[in-house]
Amino acid sequence: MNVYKIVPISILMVFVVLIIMLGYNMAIGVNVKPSSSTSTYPITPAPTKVYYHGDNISKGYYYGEGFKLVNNEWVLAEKEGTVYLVFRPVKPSKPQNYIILLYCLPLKEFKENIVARGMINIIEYKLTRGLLRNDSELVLEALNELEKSFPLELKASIVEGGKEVGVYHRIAYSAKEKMVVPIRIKAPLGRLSKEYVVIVEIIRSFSERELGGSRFYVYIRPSP
Amino acid sequence: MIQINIKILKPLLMLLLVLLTITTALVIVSAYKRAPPYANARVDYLAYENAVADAKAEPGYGRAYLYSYISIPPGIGGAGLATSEVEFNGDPVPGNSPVVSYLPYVYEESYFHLKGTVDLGDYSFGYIWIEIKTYVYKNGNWELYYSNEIHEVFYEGTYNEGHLLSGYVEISDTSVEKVTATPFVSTEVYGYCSENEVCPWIQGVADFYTNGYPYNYVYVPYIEAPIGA
Repeated sequence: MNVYKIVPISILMVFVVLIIMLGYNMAIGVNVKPSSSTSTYPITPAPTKVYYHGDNISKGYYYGEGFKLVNNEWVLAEKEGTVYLVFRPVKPSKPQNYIILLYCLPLKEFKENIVARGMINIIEYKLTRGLLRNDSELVLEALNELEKSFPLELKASIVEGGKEVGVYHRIAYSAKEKMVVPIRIKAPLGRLSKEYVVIVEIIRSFSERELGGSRFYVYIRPSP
Repeated sequence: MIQINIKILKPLLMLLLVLLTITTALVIVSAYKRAPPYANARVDYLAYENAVADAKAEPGYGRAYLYSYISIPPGIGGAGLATSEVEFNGDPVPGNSPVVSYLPYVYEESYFHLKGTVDLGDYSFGYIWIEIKTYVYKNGNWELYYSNEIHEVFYEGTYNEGHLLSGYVEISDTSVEKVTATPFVSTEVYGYCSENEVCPWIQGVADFYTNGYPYNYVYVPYIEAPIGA
C-alpha cells in the first residue's frame, strides 16, 4: 500500500479514537473524577505511617429492670431503671482502661441542635486536657458540665460495686471475661415529660493530639 | 538519494506519531476504567450563627475534601459554626459496603488517610472526626444503629497519615436481620474571633481505602462476623 494513503487513514483513526475517548471520559468523568478546584492539596498524598486504633473487646448495652418494651420501643416504666453496658472479650487482649462519661440531651435538641450535640466533644476535650496537664480545675469544670446537662426530672449515674459513682468513671477491664457496668437511670419527679438521649462516651485512648472511643446513644422515653 | 530518504522518512514519522497518540489514548481510557465509581456518598455541610461561615465537602474516588471555617466581617467580632461531612456508602445504604447476617457482635474495620490542618484561635474549638457507622436491616429497612459508633478525633495540628480504625460492635437487638458498616469523616469548627485575630479553620482531605493505597481508592470498609460469635 502507498504510504501516502496510510497517512490520511491514520489521521482519521486518531480522530475516531479521540472522539471515542472524549465521549467515554465525559460519560463517566462526571461520576468519578474528583474535583480539586477547592483543594490546595495534591491529588495523591504521599503514603505515610499508618496508626492503628481499635481493641478486641465488643461493647454494647441493653435495657434492664425498670424499662418496658411498648410498641417496639423501650420506655422508662418506673421511677428508677437500669441500663447495662457490656464489655465482652472477643480475642485474647491486653487489659484495657476506659473512661466512661454520661451526658444528657432532650431528644428534640439532639436531633435539631448541632451546637448542643457537640457540647460533649468540648467537655471530653476539657476533661482529657485536664487529666493530661494535671489541671484539677479543668477536670472539675468538665465534670460539672456533664452533671448540669441532666435536667431535674432525669438523673443518671454509673454504678460500681453497688454504689452510684456519678457521670464519670474510670474502669480497668481485664479482657478475660465479660464485664457488665450498670447505669442507674432515675426520674426524681416520678415521670418524664419528654424523651431524652443519654450519650455514653467510652474513651479508649487520648493524648494532646487525638482521642479515640466508642459512643452509645441510650434513648430514655417516658411511658405512654 | 537524499531526496528519496526524506520522502520515505516523512510519512514514517507521521505514522509513528499516530501510533504514539493511539497508545496514549488507550492508556488514559484504561486508567479511567480502573477508578471505582463514585456513588452513594452522603455529603452534608452546615454553617450558621452570626458570623459568616462556610463548609464544603466533595467526594471523588473514595475521597472527601472538607472545609470548615469561620470568617468575621470587617469591623466586628462574632461567633460561628461550620461543619462538613462525607459518608461513603451512606446513600443508599449499604451501597458498596459488605453485609453480614445478624450475630450478637461483628468486627468492623476501615482505613482512612488524612491530610489536613486544624488551626484554631484562642476562643475556638474544632477537630477532624473519623468514624465507622453501623447500620442494621430490620422490618424491611436499613437504619442507623445509633447505639454504637467507633470514632477517633483529631485536634489542632497538621496531618498526613493513615489510620486504621476498627472495633467490635455488640448488637443486642435480636430483630436485626443484617448488618453493614460505612466509613464517615467530618470536620467541625465553632468559636469566636474578632478583627485582627486568626479565625479558626480546618481543611482536610480524607481517603477511604483498603489495599494498595494510594493507587486503589476503595471506599468499602471491612466487616466480619467472627467465628464463635
